[in-house]
Amino acid sequence: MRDPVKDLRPWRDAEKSLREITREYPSFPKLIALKIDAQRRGVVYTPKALAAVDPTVHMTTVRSDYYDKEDLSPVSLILDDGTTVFTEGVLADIGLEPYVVDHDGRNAYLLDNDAPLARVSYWEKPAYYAKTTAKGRPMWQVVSARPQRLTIHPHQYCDFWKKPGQGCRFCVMATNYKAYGKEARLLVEDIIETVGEAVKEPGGYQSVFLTGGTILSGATPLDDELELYLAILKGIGPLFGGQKFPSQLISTAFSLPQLARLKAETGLTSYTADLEVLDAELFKWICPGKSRLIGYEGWKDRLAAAVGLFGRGRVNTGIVAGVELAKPKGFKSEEEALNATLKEARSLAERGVFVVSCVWRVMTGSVFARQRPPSLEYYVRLALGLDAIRREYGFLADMDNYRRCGNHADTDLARI
Amino acid sequence: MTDLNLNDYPEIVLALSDPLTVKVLGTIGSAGEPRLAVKSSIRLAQNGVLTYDELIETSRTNANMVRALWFNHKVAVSLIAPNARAWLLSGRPDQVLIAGRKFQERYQLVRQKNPESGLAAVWFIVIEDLEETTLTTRRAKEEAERPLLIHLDRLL
Repeated sequence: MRDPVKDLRPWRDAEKSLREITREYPSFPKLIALKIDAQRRGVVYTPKALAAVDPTVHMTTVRSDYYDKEDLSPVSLILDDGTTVFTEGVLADIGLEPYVVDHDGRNAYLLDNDAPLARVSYWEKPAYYAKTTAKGRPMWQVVSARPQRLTIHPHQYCDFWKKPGQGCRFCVMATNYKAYGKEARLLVEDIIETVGEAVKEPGGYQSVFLTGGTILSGATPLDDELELYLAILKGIGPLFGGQKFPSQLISTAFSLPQLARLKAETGLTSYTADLEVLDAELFKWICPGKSRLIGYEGWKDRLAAAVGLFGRGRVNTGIVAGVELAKPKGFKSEEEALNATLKEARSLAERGVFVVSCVWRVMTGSVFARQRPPSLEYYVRLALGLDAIRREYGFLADMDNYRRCGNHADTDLARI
Repeated sequence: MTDLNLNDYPEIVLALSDPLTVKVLGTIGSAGEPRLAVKSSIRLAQNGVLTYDELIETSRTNANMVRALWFNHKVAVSLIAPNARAWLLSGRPDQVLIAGRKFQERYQLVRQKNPESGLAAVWFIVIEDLEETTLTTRRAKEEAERPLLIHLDRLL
């Protein structure tokens, strides 16, 4: 694999192509490799592809804690196997040529070097996107939809960014927040009303998902963040008769008493607190706010505590795969980074926590905007490794499968 | 292999539309193990390909269909009509719908038929090859083309 420090060749010469990867890793699905690569490199749309967008059918608007858009391009794509390809966000210009989405009058296709590689569809817009809350807020601004998941970002800023140098270095939440001049917090009433409307759509969704920026305040740190999620989950609960419902929260790592309240007072069924990078020293460098507040080992301890409450297979941690190779403090080779990451993923599995990876999409506005993500081969090997660990330890991927986040190539592999 | 448009085969179109036709989907697993599943929802899509409703996300057949789509494996569909006409069709999964308007329309139809049921996916299979497997037709063909294969007592 590539040594990102020494290897300064043009990227196409320095890396194995999608075709080479699918030949060398015959057990890895080409469509999943394509998804990874399209997320890593981004996509651009031809005029024909944009002309095929029907804003009454396709999802073109989104408001989240890291990305807002209202133009008429598709929010994201879905492949013929139901695999999600995220194209959200503004990728930094780091010299990786994006894939091209073109349209032949009947279908859209992903192309690289003018060669069509796969048919794609544009995400469709849910019915509730056209509605407004009682307070007059367009519902699409309150709850966004991935193809089978309702996504709620109730706090669209992150308190770590209030102190210089404390925000995560790959993150664009603060930049996005400032660029769009949004209010930091959504109204809980708007959220509950919107979820209530959305779940009326038969077959529309399989889970409710919440995440947002850290809120440090409260009687003990993070209490206000906890209270926000409690209020939303308690408000949504009656929609499902007060029973547990398929749901996931990604929060700052809560303490055991805080976790116990989530479990006892809400219908939440799975819990995530993202370590972002599986190395203590790199965590300190890349996620300084999280590191100072809780620390790498403390974060892991809190995840393990959550397993005791929510159960095995109901607690995971996400990583922004590839940031472990960021310069200058990251691992010096992809081989070294892969070995270290998988070793740590295994140690988390020993404690009942499984790891899911996201492709590091290098975003404009992040501290890491001039970095370059690792090779496609790195992501393929990482996905294979995480999938193997998950199978070895008997974790189901249900809480974070291809229908939910859709951003984890490793859990895509759990379909077979 | 050329994709077949099943609209060009009126007898198969008729059989697919008959609720009494037995429809069986054959797939293979990761170690080559065969799996058969009766799928009464197998039907003709407008563009001449087959489609069916997968009710169980975690079914082995569903996993095998994903595998077939990912790795370009073939699957088979056996049709046995009430009049004993039968066909074996083979092809490849082309697309699966797990979300969107068409999926949701199908989801509602499935739940109207059986309120206990959910819907995991709607699969589409492009047919590449078909053969008639009706017993009488096969027997007549064999007797005409391979006359040496008959037991002698049948010639008395």
